[in-house]
Amino acid sequence: MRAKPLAGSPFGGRPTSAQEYGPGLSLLLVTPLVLLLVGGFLYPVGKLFWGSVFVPEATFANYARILQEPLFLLVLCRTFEIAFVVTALALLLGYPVAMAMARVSGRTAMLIAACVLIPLWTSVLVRSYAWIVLLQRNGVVNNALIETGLTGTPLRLLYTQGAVIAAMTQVLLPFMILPIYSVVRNIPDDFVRAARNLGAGSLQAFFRVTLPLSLPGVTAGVLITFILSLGFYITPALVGGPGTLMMSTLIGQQTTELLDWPFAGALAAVLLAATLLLVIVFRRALALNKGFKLG
Amino acid sequence: MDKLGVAEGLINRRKLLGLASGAAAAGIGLALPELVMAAPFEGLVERARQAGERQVVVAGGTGAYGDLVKKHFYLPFTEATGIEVVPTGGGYGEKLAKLKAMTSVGKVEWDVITLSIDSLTPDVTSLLRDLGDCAGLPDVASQGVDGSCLREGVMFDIGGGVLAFDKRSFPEGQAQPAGWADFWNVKAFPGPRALPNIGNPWWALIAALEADGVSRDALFPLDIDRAFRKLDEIKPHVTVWWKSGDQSQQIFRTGEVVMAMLFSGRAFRLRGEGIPLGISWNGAPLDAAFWAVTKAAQHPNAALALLDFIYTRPKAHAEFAAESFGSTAQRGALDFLTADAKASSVLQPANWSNIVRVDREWLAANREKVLQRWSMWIAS
Repeated sequence: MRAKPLAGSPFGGRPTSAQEYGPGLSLLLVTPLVLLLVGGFLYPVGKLFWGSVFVPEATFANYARILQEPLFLLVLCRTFEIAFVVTALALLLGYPVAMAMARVSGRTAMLIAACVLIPLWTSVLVRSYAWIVLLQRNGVVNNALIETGLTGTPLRLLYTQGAVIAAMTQVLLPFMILPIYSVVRNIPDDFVRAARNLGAGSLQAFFRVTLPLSLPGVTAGVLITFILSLGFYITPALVGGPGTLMMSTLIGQQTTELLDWPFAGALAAVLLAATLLLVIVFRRALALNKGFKLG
Repeated sequence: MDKLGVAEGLINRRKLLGLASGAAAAGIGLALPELVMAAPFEGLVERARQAGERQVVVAGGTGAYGDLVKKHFYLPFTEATGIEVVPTGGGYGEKLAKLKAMTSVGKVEWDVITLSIDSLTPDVTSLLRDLGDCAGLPDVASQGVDGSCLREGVMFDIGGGVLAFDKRSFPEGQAQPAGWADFWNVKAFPGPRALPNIGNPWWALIAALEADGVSRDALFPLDIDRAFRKLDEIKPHVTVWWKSGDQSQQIFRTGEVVMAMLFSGRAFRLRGEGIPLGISWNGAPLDAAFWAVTKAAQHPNAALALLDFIYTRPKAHAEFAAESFGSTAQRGALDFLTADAKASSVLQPANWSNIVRVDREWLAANREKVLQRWSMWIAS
């Protein structure tokens, strides 16, 4: 018998792959992925960052420019703001769905899974255009509002920050739901039952048992959603206006329209650095939080 | 072996030319200079023939547009002169980059290049043949709209950033927007508006200054501060800053806006789809493409002949205009347009004279500054 990891982990009981396969085989198995990452990710990104400092000559002028021109800081702040709001909304909307998915069974579970997965498999482009159809001046939403007498003239919905947030939340929702679902599903029902047995109300059982145990899923969902929102490109470009310009669009402009690759590299580096910083802070905060279920 | 009935009589002239050159070669002594005086285009063709230029390489448009140019101009040119047109193409930026590269290695494969008028900056003009006042291209002077000769090229497609409005919102018989002052007048002409955000902010600045009452001949140098102040006024009413020609059409199809600054070609396309658009050329910034001969062209005479040829045959220009939803700088085409197209054609003297030309020197000096200020203004 090999040493078993502690019980209670959803994946406990099975030996890890490092225990199963020898180091040579492990290395061999991981080589394709490493090659792909190096060739398809590390090399081009590294080259871009290298270019932002050393092309045409060693200078930090590109980074200084980001600080000097107010546009770039404005867009950076706005990008984070939108990403925060989208992540928070996705968590609020996604958590109950993940819970429901994990708790029901049979047809209902299939139906919920279909509602989550089919949009995920649908092109982002199609979903973004669907939002245009909904939100345009003579679109579904405005027509409904006018017919019910809630407004006399069509509201301005499309090409606003609200439209970007709504569409991005919908597009990214599955990335929040699925990680939470996979964790919640593995929390044994007995835990909640035990809590209820000991006198906890259903709310108390949720906040003191289910929620803390689902935090790893929440962390994963929040991180994935947040990082994807930061780099989102298609949806903001389609349903947003120039007033909702985000970093990825700005970087796209620099690379495809203005052909200023060194500066685009600088913008990308700043975005990546800011993202990593936030991810680290977030993980730290969550790690500290782990104590609260005991308290 | 000429096919008759094409190219409006040029065939016969070509036969004549053939005879003339044959006669000259046979030493019969038909005075060639006289022929040049009498029939200038034939003179250009004859010069190409004597230089042994059997083809002309044109870096023009591609796709459906390129096919139309080929049908209405390249093929008839070959028909009329026997000079083969070798078409190649690409986007303006791409072509310019290639021309620069070819010039730097000293082997320019293109004889004629078509470019946007906005790209006529000093670094580009140095790559193109100086045509002077186009005296060598008599049909340009006699058949072109005012200003067709650009010194380094001749205008071909002409159009502009017109004020287009939806007649369902502003029907005939009632007040209709007739200029940029009306675009800014949200009380008399209510409804959401659209302006372009496609990297040429000076178009919006021109409209703003026109709306602010700056007289047309005093527009340049643009008073940038004043223009942005005026733009601040209209910003809340501009719901769409369109990023592509397709988008600019779509917002009228779905009724997203009631008026906009549109490329004239897009406005005519929408009309072709049955969308009732009113079109005003009053203060529309000029958008034009020109054809130029490269400085190191290998077939310069054939190229010059082609540049003159595209100012002949007005009927072909009218057909090209109808099929491409654009217009060319050939004045005579107006007589062959339908009544409806005629009234709103840029070739109408009243429309052409109302167009605003961007001061290229001002633009070259201020482009970066304006672009930067615009991107900040529009993002905040």
